[in-house]
Amino acid sequence: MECREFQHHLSDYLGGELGEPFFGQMVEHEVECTRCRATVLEADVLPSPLLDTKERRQVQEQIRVRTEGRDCHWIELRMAEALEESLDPSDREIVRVHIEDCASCQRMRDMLQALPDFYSQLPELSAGREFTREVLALTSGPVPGVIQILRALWRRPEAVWEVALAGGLVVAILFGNQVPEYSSMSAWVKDAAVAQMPMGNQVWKTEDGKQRFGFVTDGAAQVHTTWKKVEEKAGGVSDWMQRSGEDIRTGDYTGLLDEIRVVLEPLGLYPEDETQEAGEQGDER
Amino acid sequence: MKTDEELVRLCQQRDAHSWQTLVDRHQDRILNLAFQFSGNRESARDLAQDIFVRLYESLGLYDPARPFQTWFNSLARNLCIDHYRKSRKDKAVVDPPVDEFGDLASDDEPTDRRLERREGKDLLLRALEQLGAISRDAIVQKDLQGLTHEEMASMEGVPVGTMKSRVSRARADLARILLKLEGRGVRHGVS
Ligand SMILES: [Zn+2]
Ligand SMILES: [Zn+2]
Repeated sequence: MECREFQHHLSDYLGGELGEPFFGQMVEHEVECTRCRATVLEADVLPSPLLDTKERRQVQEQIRVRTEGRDCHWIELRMAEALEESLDPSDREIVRVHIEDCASCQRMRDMLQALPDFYSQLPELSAGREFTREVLALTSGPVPGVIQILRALWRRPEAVWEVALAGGLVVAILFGNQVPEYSSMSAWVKDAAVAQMPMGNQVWKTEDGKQRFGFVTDGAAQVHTTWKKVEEKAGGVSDWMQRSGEDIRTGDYTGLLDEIRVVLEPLGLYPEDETQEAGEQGDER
Repeated sequence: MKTDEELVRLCQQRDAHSWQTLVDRHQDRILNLAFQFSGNRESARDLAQDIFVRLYESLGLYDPARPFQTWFNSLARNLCIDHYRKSRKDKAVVDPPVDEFGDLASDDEPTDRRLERREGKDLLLRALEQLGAISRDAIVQKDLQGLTHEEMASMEGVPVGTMKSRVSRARADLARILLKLEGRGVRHGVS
């Protein structure tokens, strides 16, 4: 072996990446060559390039101690590879010979071969319907009827985000000059409830036959981004939107709920006891 | 049956039903992937849900020219690796994960066999826990998810050879850790 080759493979040699018989040739060269041995030891070149027999044996012993198990590492990697695809015949032979008298690599081989057994003991999980429901609740899901959601909001105002995230509804009426007044919003809420509108932009007609635009969204994060867009796009929004947006941002929903109540009451769309509760909340404000 | 790509296109048009179909189709695989990374059913469920939420949020970014599976796999993988790194950093002391729910084994399986299975599984989970994120990823994708070296390499944009040696190294590390846990170390063991 030439010094250049030795130097080229030095890091693999020290890292235990080399297998036999190449590994042995490297060891051989290290014993022979003062200059290369100095690189390995990161030492200056020794004064005498020639070793007598005793020195030579010492050097060999030092190298043996230092490199012990290094080629085992190479063997291990080949054995790990062999789980996947068969090794080429020369590698297989090297592994076989090495394993014959290396107890440590024998144990490694047994364990590597046992890995598939270990793997097969992991459970096969099944997500189930509950999981699907939870995911849908966190994302869009089929949009539940508007009215159910408004009722849920009514009962637990603090749960508004929860409900919104639960694939429910946060209604924002959008688009600057087309923002409807309360009268037309009631019509829209009614239509939305009947049609079970999916989330996204919705066009609907008001009672007086005008076309309106609205947005049904499904989650808190989306409300925030949407709201920003609306403000930019519309260059200002109606008072109702302004107030509701503020409520949503600050987490104080009593105002918003009052607004919703105003919409729902004339439609007779919520039960009496809930009216009562809502009335009390309104009073506290 | 609609392809994933078709479903995504419909999701992008806010079709809730297509989204549900997509979730339904992939949830088992994703849940198992998350479990293979976290070793714990509870956090696997949370992680899997995170993955779907992230997918949902990213649907608009999906380029239909790419196969959905590849795109989704790499999104899921990134989240799993992130989660794994964080959870390892959070744990000053690594608790050995024990699968608290046990096996859903059938009753006619002999008890000692079942115990053995259980021990093997817990041992594997503990060993996996000691692997670095990249090695664990290699084991999960190659040996547990059954991806090919080529698929893994293209997902990460590295040469196939690099991926092959990464997998071999991870297996050797895992085997060495398992031997250590079983009290039969190898003489040139890595800590
Ligand atoms: Zn030399
Ligand atoms: Zn060996």
